[in-house]
Amino acid sequence: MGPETQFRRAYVVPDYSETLTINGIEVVREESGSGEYVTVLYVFQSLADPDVRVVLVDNFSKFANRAAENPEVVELIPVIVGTFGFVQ
Amino acid sequence: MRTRNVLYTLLGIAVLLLVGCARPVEQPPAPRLTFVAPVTLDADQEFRVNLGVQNAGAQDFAGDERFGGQMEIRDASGDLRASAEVVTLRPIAAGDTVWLVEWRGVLSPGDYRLTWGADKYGFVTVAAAVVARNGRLYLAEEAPPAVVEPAPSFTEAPAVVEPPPVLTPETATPTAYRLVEIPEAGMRFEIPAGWVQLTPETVWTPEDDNDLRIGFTWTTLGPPVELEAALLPNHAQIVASEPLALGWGDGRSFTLEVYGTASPGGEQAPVEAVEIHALIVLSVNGERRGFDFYASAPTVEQLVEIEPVLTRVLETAAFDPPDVPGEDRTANWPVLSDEVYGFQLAYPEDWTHKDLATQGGDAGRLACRAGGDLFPTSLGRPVRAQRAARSQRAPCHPGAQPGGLRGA
Repeated sequence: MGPETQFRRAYVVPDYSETLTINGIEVVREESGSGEYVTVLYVFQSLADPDVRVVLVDNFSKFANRAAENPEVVELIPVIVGTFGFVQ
Repeated sequence: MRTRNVLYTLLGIAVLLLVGCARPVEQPPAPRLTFVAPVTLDADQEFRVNLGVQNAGAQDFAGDERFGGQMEIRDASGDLRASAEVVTLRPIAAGDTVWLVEWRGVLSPGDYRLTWGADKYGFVTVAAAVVARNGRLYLAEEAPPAVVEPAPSFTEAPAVVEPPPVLTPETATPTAYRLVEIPEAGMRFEIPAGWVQLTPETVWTPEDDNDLRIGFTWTTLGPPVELEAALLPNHAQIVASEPLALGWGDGRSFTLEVYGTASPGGEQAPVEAVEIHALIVLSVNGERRGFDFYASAPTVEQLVEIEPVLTRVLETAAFDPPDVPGEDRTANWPVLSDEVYGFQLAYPEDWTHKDLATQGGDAGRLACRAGGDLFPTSLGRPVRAQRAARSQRAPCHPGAQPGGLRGA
């Protein structure tokens, strides 16, 4: 909880980001890292309180070895992310 | 002892007086840099701006490795249309001008404001207006007068009435549209009523044997695949891009040149088409799905001509997620609910979750974060759910919530 500047002290500025819409909520998908170790963040920002951000950290899908050995997990992660919702 | 203190005091005063009487160190004169940014519209209908710096002072400028030059082009509503950064500035002899960057891209008719400079040296602002006149784009000050039919005169002999020009489909602005639906993509939008679909593709053209195209494609993006790599054409160069916001999704619009095959003689491949691609990415039933609405034409002039059609497509586009056959796989999943921050998240039945210890910190930083790991019981920790709390406004997490992610 806090403004963007505080948020960026906890999570680095990503190398790549894009905005998705999941269940009607805008979510920023961020990638940081390189090569075989890329961390993916899904940042959900609350509409009710913009200082509240819920971050799902995926240290699996773009970690080459983990993803190659467990493709079923890679396939499940976006499904899990797709169940996220803010409850007013 | 007292004598020694008096001597030290006098010595101190003397040193201060000496410092006060010393000749001032001559500082080099501040550089006088002037920023210049002439704009032109070239024969290819592209807006070009050259970013230059003139040394208007009497002394040579030694250069600046931390120059930090910035250029921005914004439209009349203040939206950023292009930007560039110049990190370093090379030496400039007195009176000389160096040219650092040339930016070029397609700008629609409208008013623009270009800002170029650096925090340390100042900025210049250039206003430019692009107008469409007689089927071509011009800078406003260079535009020829519009061709206007003379008003009828009642004192002169009646003029021979010319038949109205016959508008071919490729030059006519469509006035009637029809709705097309693509159920497998969950997408619907409007296309000019008289345009022909080049089946089996989802591409439309004003008439057969016409090179103008409005198209739509979509694809599922696997985890390693980026949107642009999956949907933009190969052998193409992006000349401009800008954010795109539709009601049902956000993305980015790209203007690009698509190259044909290079000749065996080694000459540069010709520009085969110029295209605008509007890329949107959505999460659909657990998949990342990319959508591409595009306009394609052989020349920039023709692209400008059909751009309103692409705008109409985007304005009318609506997304209805296609139904997934079978039952909802997440229907019976356990749900983590967090009542403090008001969110919930489901996870597979054979996964579990584990709380993380709350992390404290200094005021002014993120004071504490709480969260937990989600992972298959047989594996490591692929997904971590965290929420951050600032201690000044809320405790790290006020206690455990049944079935939720809990702080320490």
